[in-house]
Amino acid sequence: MENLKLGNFEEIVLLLVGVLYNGAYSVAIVEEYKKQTGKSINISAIHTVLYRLEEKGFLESKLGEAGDFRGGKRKRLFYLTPYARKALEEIASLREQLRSQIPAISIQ
Amino acid sequence: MSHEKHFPPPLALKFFRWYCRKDRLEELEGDLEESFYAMLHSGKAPGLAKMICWWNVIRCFRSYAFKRSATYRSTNVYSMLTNYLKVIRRNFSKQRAYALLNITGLAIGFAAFILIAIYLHFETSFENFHTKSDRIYRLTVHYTSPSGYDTHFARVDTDWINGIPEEIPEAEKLIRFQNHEPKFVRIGEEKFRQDNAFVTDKDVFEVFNFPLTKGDTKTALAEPLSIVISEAVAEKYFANEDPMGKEIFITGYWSTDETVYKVTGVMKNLASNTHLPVDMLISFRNEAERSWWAYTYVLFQEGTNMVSVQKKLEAMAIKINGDQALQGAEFVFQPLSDIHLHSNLAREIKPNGSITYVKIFLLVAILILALAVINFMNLTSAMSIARSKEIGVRKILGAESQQIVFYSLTESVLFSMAAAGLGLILAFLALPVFSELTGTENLLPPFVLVSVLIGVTVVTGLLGGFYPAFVLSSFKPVNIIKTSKAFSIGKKTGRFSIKRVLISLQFGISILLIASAMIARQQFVFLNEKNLGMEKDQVIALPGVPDTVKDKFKLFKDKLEGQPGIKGVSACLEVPSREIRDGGTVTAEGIQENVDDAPSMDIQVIDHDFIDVMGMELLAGEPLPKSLAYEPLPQLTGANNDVEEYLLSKRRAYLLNETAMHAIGWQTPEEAIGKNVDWNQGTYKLAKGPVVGVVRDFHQETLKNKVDPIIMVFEPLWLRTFLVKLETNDVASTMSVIEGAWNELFPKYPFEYQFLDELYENLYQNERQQLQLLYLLSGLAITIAFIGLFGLIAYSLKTRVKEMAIRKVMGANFTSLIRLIGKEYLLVMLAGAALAIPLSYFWVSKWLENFAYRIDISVMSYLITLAGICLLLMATVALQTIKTSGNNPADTLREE
Repeated sequence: MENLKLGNFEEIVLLLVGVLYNGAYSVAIVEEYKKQTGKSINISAIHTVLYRLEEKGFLESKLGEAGDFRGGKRKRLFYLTPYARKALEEIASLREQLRSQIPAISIQ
Repeated sequence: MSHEKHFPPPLALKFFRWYCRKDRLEELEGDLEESFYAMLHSGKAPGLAKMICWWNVIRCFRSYAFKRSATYRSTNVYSMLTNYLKVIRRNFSKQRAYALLNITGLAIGFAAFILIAIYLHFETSFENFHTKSDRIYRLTVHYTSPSGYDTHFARVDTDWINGIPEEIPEAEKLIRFQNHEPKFVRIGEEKFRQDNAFVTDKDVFEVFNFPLTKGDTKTALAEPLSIVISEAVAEKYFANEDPMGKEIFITGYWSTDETVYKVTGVMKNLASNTHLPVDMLISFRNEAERSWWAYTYVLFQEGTNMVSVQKKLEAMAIKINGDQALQGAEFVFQPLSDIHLHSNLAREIKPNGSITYVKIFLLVAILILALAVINFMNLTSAMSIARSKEIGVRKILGAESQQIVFYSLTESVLFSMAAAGLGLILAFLALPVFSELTGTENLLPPFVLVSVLIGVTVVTGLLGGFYPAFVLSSFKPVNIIKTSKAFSIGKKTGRFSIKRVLISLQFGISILLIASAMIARQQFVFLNEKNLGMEKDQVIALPGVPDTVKDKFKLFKDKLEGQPGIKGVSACLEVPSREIRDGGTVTAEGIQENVDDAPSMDIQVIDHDFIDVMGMELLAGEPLPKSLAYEPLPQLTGANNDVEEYLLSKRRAYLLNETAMHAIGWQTPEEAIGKNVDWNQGTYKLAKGPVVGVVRDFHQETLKNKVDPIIMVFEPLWLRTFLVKLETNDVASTMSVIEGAWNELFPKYPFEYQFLDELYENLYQNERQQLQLLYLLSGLAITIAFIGLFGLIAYSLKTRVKEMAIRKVMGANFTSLIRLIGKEYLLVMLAGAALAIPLSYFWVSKWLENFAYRIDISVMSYLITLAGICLLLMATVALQTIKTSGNNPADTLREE
């Protein structure tokens, strides 16, 4: 668990990549982020995190096709690695485990 | 696709492509474009979308997008740097002598630069400490008359100017500094003569920054009979006692009455960068005292338009005095900060500097620095040739050109830093001598000096390293390893190769400075040794005697005449060496009878012994007759025109100088003798009297000015200087005789005298300072140049050892070797000389134009300079050749 070193924002980006399966590239992630959280974010912030996560081994990527409105340029599609799946699962289960231990009284 | 008429801003994309790494460019640029079109799609205005796209490009300026540079890829910058430093250190110890030579040359250059910077800063910092200096103006007056009288005074003598603050709305305050004549001060039993003492207005502290350490600026000069003294004066008068409230007795200049003043303030000593040195300020007793000659300063409001003020001043003068007021008088406001470098008027408080000299020395500073940098470049590039093998190996091992350049520049910047450190030390060791030489105080804040120096150091290091760096980095490794390269400035390097141009520039700068210094020296010797038309040696002058002393001059004279060691005693108006500023028109019987057309002349008042005492030559006639004797001075009040009547009633006889004779229109001295002339200035008029003699022209003033026409007359009322001619080997005991007589007759006044020859020498104090500075600098220049040359020749011979050996084997003798090497340098030097000599001629003739009497520039000075440099050059070449060719050629050639 302690080896995973996943920040809060990184975790969200990982989740978004998972949500957008097979269509996860930067612009789509920006839109999805806005849709899901209601907050807007600059594309450079997403770039930074995507490339960093790839370096850390949470993501792998390949160049996809050139979509509309891209001036004929291909997009880089990102996919979760098994390592990332494991990390996300561990985080989720840790959270769940902790949540279940909270006495009912303290969140009433 | 409805939005295709709008595109992302092309410049933004261009910028993005410039910084973005290639492997991510496609996807990232695509992202940017897509977000742009997405914004248009969602209904954003195209302009806004473009702006956001720009914003995104800027936001993407982050590490993930950056190009990976070449150096970044090379594994370890730090360890390369340590390697560089190590090799630089090893090289330094391997060629210690040359490296030290190189650093020393540059250090001397830096030291000269620092010293001149201090001098220039001092000269341009005048009046800076007055916080309102940009709003303070000095009022001056320029008097002219059709007869040729033309004098611009630094001070003003009309009283209506006191109304300026009331009449001109922009003027806030008007401050008078008057009664500038020396004060005769008594404290208890001790007597002092106090200069730099002024009577001034109480608001003086609101205009000028004269900080008080004791007392209150608001009240210090508010009361009559108050006095503020400087700390230095306080210490002189009262030693360690508290001066506040102490009494100071001052004897009047015009009468023997003593007035007692109370000390109400002590002022910090002023720095010497002011044209207005103040040691004592005295309050006015009443408004009526604010009259007659005064150095007058006006404080204006911020943003005042001086052109309109000048107009208002003229209107005001006419309003108060009527139309005649400004005839022949022009009132001029001078900005306070311009006075030191731009003003040279009559009766300045102290001699001012000159912007010309500031410019000259700025140029010299740049030249010397250029010399040192050239030297540095030459030596560094020469030294680096010996290291071409090292560079070759580095290149073969994969060093890139960029790295070699960086390595080279590191080395030269390090050298230049060492030189700067050494230069700083040298400059501060030389500073005391330099300050004395130039009268400069070091007011340069150290942090400014240091930051300027750091800048110059880095620039020099880069400049110096630039050429060798690129020479070295351009070598082809194979060639370097295969052959060993010789350093020479011979024809093979090309007629205009950088090396040759640099060396000839060096020679040129040295010749320029040395030849100019030599000619300046000749002019200076000429100034001091020219026959002045009088004998100034062994004459003491007691200038500026008060009226009460003057009254008893006859007694003083009788007491001294005939004493052993005293040849004669006389008196005059203006002490010789000082310009005469009292002019008037002279009419002459039968030739110039109309006062309005008559020529204007200076008047020198003398007694009948003057010609004798001063050793002047009479071309015709005789000195003033003894029958015009001293009589007790009349008691004149100035009322009912009694002065005018007195002047007109006395019997007169006149002497003229040659120029005056010609000005009137007489051709020969004999023609003038016996003709009646008179002298008029305004309401003052001297009675007609005969010309009794004509004197050969003598130099009353500095040789910068032409001899003016002078008329001489006897009038005891106007004598102001006593003169005593000594004829003794024991000056000290004769002086004590004179002092004894003085103290007996004038116990209230301190005995103060000056030697006339010193007064004349002081006239050229500025020139002497500048000359000495020029000496110093040209000495430094030649030192730097020859340090460089020495190193260069030594180096060049070292790389040509084999060539020399082969030449010797083939039968060349010592002289032919010297000729071989010497010829190369000689040609280069002559090229430099061809550049420098016309420049120096131009420069020096400009300077000589300052002097009405001057030497001709002689070819000899240039020949001597050239010969001297040739000799030095040949000596250097010979010395180095002996060292090289002394070896047995077999030894040199054997090892390979």
